[in-house]
Formats: sequence, structure tokens, C-alpha cells
Amino acid sequence: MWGKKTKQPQGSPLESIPFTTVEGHQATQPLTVFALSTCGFCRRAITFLNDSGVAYRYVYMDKLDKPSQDAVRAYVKQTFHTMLSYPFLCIGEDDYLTGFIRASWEKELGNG
Amino acid sequence: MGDAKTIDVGQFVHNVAKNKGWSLNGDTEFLQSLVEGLEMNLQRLGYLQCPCRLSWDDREKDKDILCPCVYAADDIAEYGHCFCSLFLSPEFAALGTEPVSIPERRPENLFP
Repeated sequence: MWGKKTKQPQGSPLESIPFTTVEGHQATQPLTVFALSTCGFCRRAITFLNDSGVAYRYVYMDKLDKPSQDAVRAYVKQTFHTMLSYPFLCIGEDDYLTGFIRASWEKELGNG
Repeated sequence: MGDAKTIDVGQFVHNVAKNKGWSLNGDTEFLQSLVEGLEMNLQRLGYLQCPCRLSWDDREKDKDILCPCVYAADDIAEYGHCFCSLFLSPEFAALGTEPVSIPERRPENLFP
């Protein structure tokens, strides 16, 4: 298994979410992935990030309880004004990618 | 209908593809991850819910995303594969190109 559990800073709307953090080189913006443990494209996305060596954190939404799922959904809605579909990559709080389209992820992360 | 938990999911997706005239994703590792995702959903929900969408944990509310979902035929016709890329049109499969995530056809108000 990749990464380790980390606590989020106090006051963040995601502070109760048990992200797994993967060490690596820092991207321009912090990267957060919301994924499903059962989804093939999510698995590809996580493999892609691991292979790229970038630092990021992720959580499997299907492993969270309902209040945590609601908190993530509200955060995504409020921050990115869109609905959650998987995988969902937050690039800082200004940009995101939804779904795994390899060329877009390569372009966004600057290794394409 | 027999006990849902005794379904052989690998056989199930094979039968669906055969009956509908679709092809299964030719990447065996990717296909296996989706079969495992469906098995996981069967185990925890009791029904074969789409592995690429978050569940309501309520069969009635999830009924449009029981595999094969009601959106699959339209997605296969338009994009060459279903939302998960479990099922492909034979034409798309013959191209051998890597499927990528496609837009979500399920209406936003049907999501948890």
C-alpha cells in the first residue's frame, strides 16, 4: 500500500477526512484525489500519479461514512462549482480534472 | 432470481456482453479491477452496482446504475464504451485505443 495516513490542518472543511498522503516531489499546487476503490479509471489515475513521483493525497469515497462523503461533496461544490465524478483531481483550489484522461493529466502535471 | 451473493461476476459480465453484442475491455488487468469492484459492491450492497459511481446504499435509488447501467447503451453508441469502460462496442474494441473517462450521462439530481 502506498502512503500513510495524515491529519489535516485544523479549520479545513476536509479536516475530518482520513486522506492517505503519498510522498514525492511537490507539484506547483497541492494535489488531492477523490476516488472510488472499485473504479478502474481511479486505479489508473492513482497508478499514473505514483509513476510520476509527484506528492499528493487521496481518499476513497466509498470507504467514508455518509457525513464525510457529504463534507467532501459540499467542499467540491463550493470550491469548484461542479459535481463529483471519479476520479476527481483537485489542483490547489482553483483548478480540477474530472475523470482520467491520460493526456490531460500529463499536460496538467507537466510531464506530457 | 437466485441469491445475489452467489453470482459469478466474471461470468455475469461475459454474459451481458454476449447478450448485448458488446465486447469486454481487452485490458485484462483493467477488466479484472472492474470485476473485483462489482464483487465488492455485491458484497457490501447486495446488488451489482456500477463500480464507477458512488452508491446511495439504497437499491431503489441506485436502480439506474445497476450493471449494466441504463446509460451504457447510449454511451457505447456515442463514445464506444460505457462510463466504466467495462463494455465496449466491437468497433471501438477493434481500434485498440486506450479508453478514457467520458462525461457523466446520469442526471445530477440522481446522485447522492
